[in-house]
Amino acid sequence: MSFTNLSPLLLGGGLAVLAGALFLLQRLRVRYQPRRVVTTLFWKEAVEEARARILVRRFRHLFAYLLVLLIAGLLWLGVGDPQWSQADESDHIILIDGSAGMAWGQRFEDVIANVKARAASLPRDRRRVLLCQSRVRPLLLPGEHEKVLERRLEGVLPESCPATVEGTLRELVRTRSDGRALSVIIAGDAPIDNDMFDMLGGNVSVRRLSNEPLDRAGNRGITALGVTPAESGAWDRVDVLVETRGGDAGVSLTLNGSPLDTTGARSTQVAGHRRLFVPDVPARGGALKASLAGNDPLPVDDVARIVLPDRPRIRVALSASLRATLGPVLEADSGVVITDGEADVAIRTAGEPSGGNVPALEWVTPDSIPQTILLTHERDLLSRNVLLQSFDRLGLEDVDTAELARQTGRVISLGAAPGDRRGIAVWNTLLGEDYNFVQARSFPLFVASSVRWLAGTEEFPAFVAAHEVVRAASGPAGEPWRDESGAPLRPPRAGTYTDASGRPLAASLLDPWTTSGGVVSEVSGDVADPMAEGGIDPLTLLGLLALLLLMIEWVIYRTGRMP
Amino acid sequence: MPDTTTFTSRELFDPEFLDSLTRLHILARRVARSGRPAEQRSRDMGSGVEFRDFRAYSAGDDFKSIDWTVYRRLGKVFLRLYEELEDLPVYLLLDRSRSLFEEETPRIRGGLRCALALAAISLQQHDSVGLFPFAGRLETALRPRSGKSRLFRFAETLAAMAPEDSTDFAKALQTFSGLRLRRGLCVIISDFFDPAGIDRVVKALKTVRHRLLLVRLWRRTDQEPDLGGDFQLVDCETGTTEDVSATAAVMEAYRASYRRFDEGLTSFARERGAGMLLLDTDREVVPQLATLFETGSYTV
Repeated sequence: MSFTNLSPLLLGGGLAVLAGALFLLQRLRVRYQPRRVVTTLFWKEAVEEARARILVRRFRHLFAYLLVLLIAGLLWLGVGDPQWSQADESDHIILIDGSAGMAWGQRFEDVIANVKARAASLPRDRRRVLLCQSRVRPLLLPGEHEKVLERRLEGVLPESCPATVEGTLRELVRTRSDGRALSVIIAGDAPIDNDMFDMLGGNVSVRRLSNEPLDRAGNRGITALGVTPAESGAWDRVDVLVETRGGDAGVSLTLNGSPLDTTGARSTQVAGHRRLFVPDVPARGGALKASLAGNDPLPVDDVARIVLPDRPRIRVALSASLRATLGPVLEADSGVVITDGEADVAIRTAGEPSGGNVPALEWVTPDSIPQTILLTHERDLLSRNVLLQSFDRLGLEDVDTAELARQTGRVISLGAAPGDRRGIAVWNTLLGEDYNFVQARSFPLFVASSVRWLAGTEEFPAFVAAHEVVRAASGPAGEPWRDESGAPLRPPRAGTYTDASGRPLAASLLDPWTTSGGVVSEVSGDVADPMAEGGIDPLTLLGLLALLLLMIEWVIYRTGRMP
Repeated sequence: MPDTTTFTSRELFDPEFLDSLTRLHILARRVARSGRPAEQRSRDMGSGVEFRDFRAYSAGDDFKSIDWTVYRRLGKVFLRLYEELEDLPVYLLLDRSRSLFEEETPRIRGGLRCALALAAISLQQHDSVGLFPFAGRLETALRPRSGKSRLFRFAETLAAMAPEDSTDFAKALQTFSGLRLRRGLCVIISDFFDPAGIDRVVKALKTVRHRLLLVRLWRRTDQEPDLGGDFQLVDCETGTTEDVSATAAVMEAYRASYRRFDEGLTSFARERGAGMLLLDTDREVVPQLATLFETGSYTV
């Protein structure tokens, strides 16, 4: 519990004084002097009669009545919790920065204390308090008592996410429909771009609640952790990049809890941040953790995690009839291994049994399918979507279809149809020497892409950062990762998530501003101290008046001038 | 304040006090039949010495009662009727509840002297007098007997009177009725402060078959208590407490309550034809008894 009008010292002292005063009053209560009498018979009846209350009794003791009425009236007004009328008619919104950057020592607690005081000084019916974290949470709505704010702030801690105050402010300004003046008070260190102020109207003011500016120079943190397909070309390996800022502390990397072999790692220092490049890390789906040694004021950015992709080599059953044509191509692919046993994908001429019932790349006669290339996909997918995605993923855009069409004299087309399992059927005439498809540079890419598509190999994200849309590390650039609902996956905060395929993802903070700070905003006028401008509040005043009147009543009663 | 107040018989049996009482006589207006001869006048015509009336002779009448002088003058036989004098049993019911032993001057003092005075008067007139102290229960301290010599015994018994706790008129008078005593004069000496209330007292008094003389041991402060401020009043008999702030309203309500008590007792006495003596215990007993016997005799 906190008190907006009293410091803890004043509160304790006041309580002690009240306790003493009440104790004295208690001692001053009527003390009946014992007296033995021959009978209490008549007294008993007399007291009973005196206690009787009847409505029709003649009205007496006007001044006593008025005094009690005044006290009761004051207390009743107190129940109404009156507020001083304000000349300021604007709406007030306090945006509390609850991001990871506020977890700096007692920073957040200090800001919260200022918010409570400031909120109490604002007109109740025109104030709002919003907590800006991974999502915006209202803590105080117009008309609510500030005690509600105190209760809602209990247990609130900074969240491991970047600052979202600017986005919230932008949304507030964008959705603002009435023309009333708006005063936005930012509580915390969240950065606001200067261009943000350009879009504010003339009746919107933004100020920052007074807190000492924070120097984040002493903080170190991990600002990037990502993976890419290995530069070495190894399919089952990835390269890892770790970026740190603030200081020269070393980064320790563990994979599934064991130290990672960083042989061949390269470290570079670039403009205040250090990058560590670790090549050829086994892509077996392990959990990679990067951490900084030592302590600093902001531990939340000292650790980052990412789930490495799981990329086993694809077992391909290649029929003997195609071994001469496709064998060299497949053998050159590091992600593929030709096998005569159990296979993930089969490459064969139509009708051959090679590979069995596995997804297959089959070469068929042109008369057997209407399109040059026909994709068979799962029944729960739309053929149109499969076509759109596969055009890129199969590398078909690199195929010189115009030349093929000229050489074959037929239209080169791509089709898709649902089936029991994935499959790709291609005219076998394209393998003939009459056409340059086999010799084309796009042919190995087509075969490799087809094998991966048939094997169901998925892409993997380059990095997973809090409050940023997850995107693939390779393949079609910028394609967002999907969550289980099909929406672009945007981890609200650091933590563990699951994508649409049920694969685990580990999101980290990875926010450069949180780690090293920056220019907060040019317009950051302090808000005046509410204690200095508020003075005594109406409720306190009413309470004091009621107390004074009660004391007067007591004196009058004790002196016998009041019944 | 002491719990008990005792008096010596000498203090109670003051010769001057007794001498002043010899002038007073209690004459019975109604007495029970079959009493032994005494100085109490009976409505019955009998063989006394005081002429009362004439009656025509009828067969079986006593010849000794014929007035021969009238016969000589009128030639008719008349009998002379004499008033038969019978004794009047006096039953003294003395309240000895704790309330009578309280206060600076306990009102039991007045009660004891009153009882002794009435006993002395009755014994002086050859009446039989019994003493029945009561509080929560009634006891027979002295059985009804006549004889002037018993006065000393009365004095000794009264002097040794000790208090009992709470008054219970209903129980005490029920016990008294159960004694089945010859009808006489029942003198109740009490403050009549029964925790059960005056209604219960009156109801109990109605069960008494005897002639009644109520002697209220009274004190001015009963009616106008000298109380001002806030008090926790402790009932000396029941021990119950009552927090009282003696405001004007409370005092007025007290007086009203006392008036109801007073009127209840007085109304009963009036309706029953009982005598009532308001004995101020702060004053001497004899002058107040003299007021009662202002005509020289108290006829019941």
